[in-house]
Amino acid sequence: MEPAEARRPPAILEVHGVVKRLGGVEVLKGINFTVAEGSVFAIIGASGSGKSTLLRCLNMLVVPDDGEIVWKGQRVGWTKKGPAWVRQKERELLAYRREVGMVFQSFNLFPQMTAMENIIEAPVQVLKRPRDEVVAEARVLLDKVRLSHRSSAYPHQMSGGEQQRVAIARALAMKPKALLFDEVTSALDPELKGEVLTVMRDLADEGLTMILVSHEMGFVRGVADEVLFMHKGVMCERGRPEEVLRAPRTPELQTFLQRVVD
Amino acid sequence: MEWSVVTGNAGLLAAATLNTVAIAATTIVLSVVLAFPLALMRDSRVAPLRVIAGIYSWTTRAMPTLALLFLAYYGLPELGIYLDPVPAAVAGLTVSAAGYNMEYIRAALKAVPRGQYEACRALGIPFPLALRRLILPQAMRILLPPLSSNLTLLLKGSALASLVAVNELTGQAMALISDTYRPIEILIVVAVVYLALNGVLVAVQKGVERQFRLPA
Amino acid sequence: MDVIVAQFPRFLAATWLTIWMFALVTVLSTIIGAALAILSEAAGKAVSVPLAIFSWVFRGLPELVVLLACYLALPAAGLDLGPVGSAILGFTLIGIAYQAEIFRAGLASVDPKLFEATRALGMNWRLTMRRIVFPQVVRTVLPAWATFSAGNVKAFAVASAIAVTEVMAVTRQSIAMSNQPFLLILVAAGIYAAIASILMVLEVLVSRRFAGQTGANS
Repeated sequence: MEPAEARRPPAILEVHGVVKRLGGVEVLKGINFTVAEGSVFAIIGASGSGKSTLLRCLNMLVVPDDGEIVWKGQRVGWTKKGPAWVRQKERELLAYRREVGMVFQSFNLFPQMTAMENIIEAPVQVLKRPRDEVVAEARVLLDKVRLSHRSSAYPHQMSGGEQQRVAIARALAMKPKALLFDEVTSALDPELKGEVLTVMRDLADEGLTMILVSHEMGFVRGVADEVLFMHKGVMCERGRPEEVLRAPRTPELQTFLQRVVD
Repeated sequence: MEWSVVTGNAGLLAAATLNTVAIAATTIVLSVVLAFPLALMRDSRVAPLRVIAGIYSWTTRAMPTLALLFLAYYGLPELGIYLDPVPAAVAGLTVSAAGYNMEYIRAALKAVPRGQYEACRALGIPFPLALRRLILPQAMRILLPPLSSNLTLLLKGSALASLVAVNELTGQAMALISDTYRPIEILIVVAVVYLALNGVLVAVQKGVERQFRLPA
Repeated sequence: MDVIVAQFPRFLAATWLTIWMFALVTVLSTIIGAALAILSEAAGKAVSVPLAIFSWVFRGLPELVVLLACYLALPAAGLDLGPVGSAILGFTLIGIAYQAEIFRAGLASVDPKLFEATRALGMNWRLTMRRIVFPQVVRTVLPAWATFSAGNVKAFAVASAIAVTEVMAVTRQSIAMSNQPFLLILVAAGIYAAIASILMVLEVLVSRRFAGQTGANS
């Protein structure tokens, strides 16, 4: 354990021994870590290392086969009934997902809706909040992601970078306690990555708890409080980015860092 | 040509046309309404539901529509269920069309990118709400062309109702032909009416499709 | 069950009648439909416009109306084909309307650059059609062709309405005799499904043959 552990605020999210098998292959082989409230936690690794699956386990889009995820002291996805733990139904998971939002590599905006409509959809329809109020908040969010002028644009009328920033605003509109970012800049042209990363940096500065899978080493080094390197479903290295990325201890991480020269 | 057989019986033919429209419209609505739950059952996580929907889909598509109409009209009384000709015809046509509709709906729901379903789940949107507000509007664009052509088939299929004693357009035509012995004039008029109804249906479809098109 | 046994010879004859009518109609409408599609591609508007109208009319009319026209209106115009002949004519006309559309779509899917390429190679039109276009069209057309044809078997039940003693007609007679409609209708449906599934098997076999060619091409 790092000495930093002692100084940190208590963990908002704990991951204990998470195992996931897909098609007979163990893609996650017992993952453990904790994320402190307000911190930025980055997961790095080559493709096929299991990092995206791990991120999806965190909001139960993928259900782990073993281990547990604990959010604010409560086990996620399971309810204790007497002595036994019972798997929650999809319906019961929804409340948790509203607290832990997600932004996807492929944006996944609703194509039939404008930027504004995308953002207000869930707060109005799911949380049943008054529309005017939500629209006012959405304007603030659009301003925050620097897209005030695009509020009535449809996804296919926007650049990838703009779409991704709308997707971030859409996730923020649910006022989540934490956000998961799944390689959110990987599908973007190099010149569009910057505008998305700037927005994410702002969010980190505001103290939002962020867990991200990313290939942007510059961003991870500059913004993340902690970094986890995964290799073939195993946690290889974990620690403060300036230590882990500067002085990798394992040959796997050395090879990986050489390959993603940034 | 002796067009008086048509003009003299215009009232009967008009009434029969209304019957055709009523049967086709009812069947169109009911068959889509019935097909939705079946399409969802077909991919349900609950195995028995999946099997039931699969059997339904396979059998209704394998059976001639006429056989389903006969089942409703001649077969159901064997079970103590007596339907009048029109409800029997609507039931047979609906059950038949729903078998196709459910496959189109299912295919369209599958064609919506997985990311859209994931986005809904990640936002904490309950599945019924996600389906209605977010997934279906996208699926509609894929669903409408095959669904429309199947609904056109339904309009044609309503002619089968004449074979279970329903007095719709074709049935009325047959009755008039045996009364007047003027098949040519009567069938020409009937054909024109069917083609015109078809045209109306196509126009409605175009209008609906425009509703779901994305702005440029 | 007794009624099935008693009516077995009739069902057999009716099945045979349905099969050969269906086979004849499928062959005729495929050949004529394909020929008209090719002709409209080659001869332009003079053929394609009338074909489009013909196709629209016969795809828009209920099968029963087309059959009634062949069975009742043609004799009034001096041409009496009898029940079976009328059914064959009616279903062939409808079949042509669909097959022409299916083949037109298939031809349209052939890349025009292909024609340029074959011309550049000095291949004449017939050779191009036979060696290049036809195999490609067959591959693209086959699924739609099989789906339509297999589905079309069921439409033959309507022929019972114009006194053709095919499967559904015998079914109706048997219902009147025995009062066991459920069983009889299911037997009839089974017969149609069996004929349709023969066609589906055929489609799989043919498409496998042509799939081999794709592999060689790509």
